Amino acid sequence: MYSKELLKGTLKPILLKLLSDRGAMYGYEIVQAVKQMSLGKIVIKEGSLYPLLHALLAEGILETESRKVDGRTRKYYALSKKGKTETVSALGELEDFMSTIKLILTTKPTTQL
Amino acid sequence: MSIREQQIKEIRKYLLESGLDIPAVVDDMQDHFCCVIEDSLRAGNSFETAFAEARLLVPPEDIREIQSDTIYYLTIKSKIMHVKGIFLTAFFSVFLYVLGTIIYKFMILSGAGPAGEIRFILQTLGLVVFGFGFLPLLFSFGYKQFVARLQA
Repeated sequence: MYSKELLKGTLKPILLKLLSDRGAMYGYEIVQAVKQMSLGKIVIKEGSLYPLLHALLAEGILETESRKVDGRTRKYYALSKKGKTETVSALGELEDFMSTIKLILTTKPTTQL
Repeated sequence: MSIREQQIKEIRKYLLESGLDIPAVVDDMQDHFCCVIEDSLRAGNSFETAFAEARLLVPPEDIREIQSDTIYYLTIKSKIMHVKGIFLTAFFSVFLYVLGTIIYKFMILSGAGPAGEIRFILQTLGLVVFGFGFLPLLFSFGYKQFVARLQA
């Protein structure tokens, strides 16, 4: 499992990508999907997921639909129109960041600054 | 395998007693707990065991953290706007007051126009911004901070 610090900045793009690919999902489903896709290496904690979902909802990036399931309310989160645009820029930024990190890690020092 | 209505109420009671009181987040967490418990029931555990495991997984401290983090995310933008308002009104009230004094001195020295009236208008505007902008914003911010500290 990766450290909380490493996951902190990547949770939002992961979430947006997942909702972009799979459509509306509920909280537990998101946790399980990420766990399965990452082969158990990324486990999203409830304490990270739900505050983020509600922040994105307040920003208008996500929208919800409540359904009654087995006597309880289940909220499905989906990308709004604004969220679809945000996903493209968030994923672009993450990819750029990953290639920069890779560059730093693989570049051998040639000259001393 | 689904959970009975009484058991759902028990889960909700645990969440509310742990300090979670944002209705939308309570619904989310209630469903989350139910899903975790249902997985455990499918594995052959009783509701009591499954619920105890779920509580260990998400103890009351974590629930309180979810509550405070959600409030933080939902209010951070308005807090920033509030602080900006405090600084801007402070700046404009001082600016108008000082400008009134400078213009007055300048006009008196050059002997031009109604210096007293211009000073009166600018300084009154400065005091209005101070009294009806800066002070209410400052007091409401202080009050909100005080209430938040009491609730923490």
